[in-house]
Amino acid sequence: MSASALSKGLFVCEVCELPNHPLETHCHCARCGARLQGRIPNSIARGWAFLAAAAILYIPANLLPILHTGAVFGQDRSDTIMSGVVHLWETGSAGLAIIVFIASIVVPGLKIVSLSYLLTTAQRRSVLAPHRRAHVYRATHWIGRWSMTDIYVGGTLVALVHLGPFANIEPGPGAVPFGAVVVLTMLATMSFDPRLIWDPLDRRHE
Amino acid sequence: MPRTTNNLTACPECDLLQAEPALPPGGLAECARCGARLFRERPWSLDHTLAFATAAAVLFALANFYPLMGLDAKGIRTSAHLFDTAWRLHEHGMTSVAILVLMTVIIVPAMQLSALLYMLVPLRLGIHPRYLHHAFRIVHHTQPWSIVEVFILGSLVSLVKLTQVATVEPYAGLYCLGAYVGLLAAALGAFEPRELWKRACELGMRLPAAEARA
Repeated sequence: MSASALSKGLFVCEVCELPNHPLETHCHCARCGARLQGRIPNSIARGWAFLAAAAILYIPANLLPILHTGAVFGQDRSDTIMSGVVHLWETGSAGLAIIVFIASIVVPGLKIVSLSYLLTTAQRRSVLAPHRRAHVYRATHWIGRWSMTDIYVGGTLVALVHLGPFANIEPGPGAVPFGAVVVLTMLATMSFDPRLIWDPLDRRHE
Repeated sequence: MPRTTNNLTACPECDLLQAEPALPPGGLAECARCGARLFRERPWSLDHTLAFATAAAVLFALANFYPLMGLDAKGIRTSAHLFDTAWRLHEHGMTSVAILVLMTVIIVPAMQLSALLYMLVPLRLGIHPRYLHHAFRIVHHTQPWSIVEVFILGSLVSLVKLTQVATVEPYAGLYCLGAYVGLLAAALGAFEPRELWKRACELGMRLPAAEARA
């Protein structure tokens, strides 16, 4: 018979993982002092809010140019993420094209889909496939940071290539929504409380 | 219901309350229900973490000091430091993106390393650092935002991109940064919070309320 710490009146510290008796410690962890909350408050609503903002910004992030390249490098061009990928592919860097495509387009899109799945099932208090959802949660957590790649590509290119007025690489307006998508999906993942996957199972046993 | 939390642990991912198993050195305890990692028995954890974190701090300082990479286009040479990647974005009017880069590759990693060393150096010397719990929380909260390994991937992508049009070269800074990434991963991989709290308690850290009664 399994029981969650919460159902036994224990709040597990999210930072140092110590099970606490909340009333006796004034709602702060006895060991590390972090605020005790039992479950992340409004986890699902916060998750949806961050996710909706990310999904909206995903559109300008992909449609606006992210990089302007000056004329010294062949022709003067403005690239969106996708046209940059196509350009890499056509100029013979297929491997790089695949890395950038996965990190900048597939990963953020996949995160939006997987977080929607986690939030929907948690909201409906689903008891189906908790192990699969736990794996999806861990993968979402791990993969999130890699979509920053294109921001750093832009940053290093801009820092290195400043060779005069017509031979610069400059960031385009798409960089702002793109960075925001990455940060917002990371915040959405952090505000999702994985214990919500398992809570409905506890209730059913009781 | 017992009033203590002695020998009981709860899974950080699914909240299942379970007895802490006794493990041999090097052993790993996983949650009985969801399989998340609970803790490892690693008596050597703090020493290893301290060694790796110290080396990582030295290399991170060097990575900030030396240029990361250089470019030579028809005789015009430029080079870029780590800080330039954020600064040039700011100069081009992309201040928000510049702050994101500055935070994730310089400020947050520096905070993370400082907090780790602030905890581990005194503990190694037998002193209980006064703000241990604050430092622990800093390490916990900075971890998702310290993403230098992704920066390395990004700079390699831009180096390869530029080889088509100019002569580019990775400099010492990039090698230092790469070594820092490996060493930080080793430090965090060796870090076992249980050992930290155990050591702190041996040095006189007192826990109020719940745990003290356990």
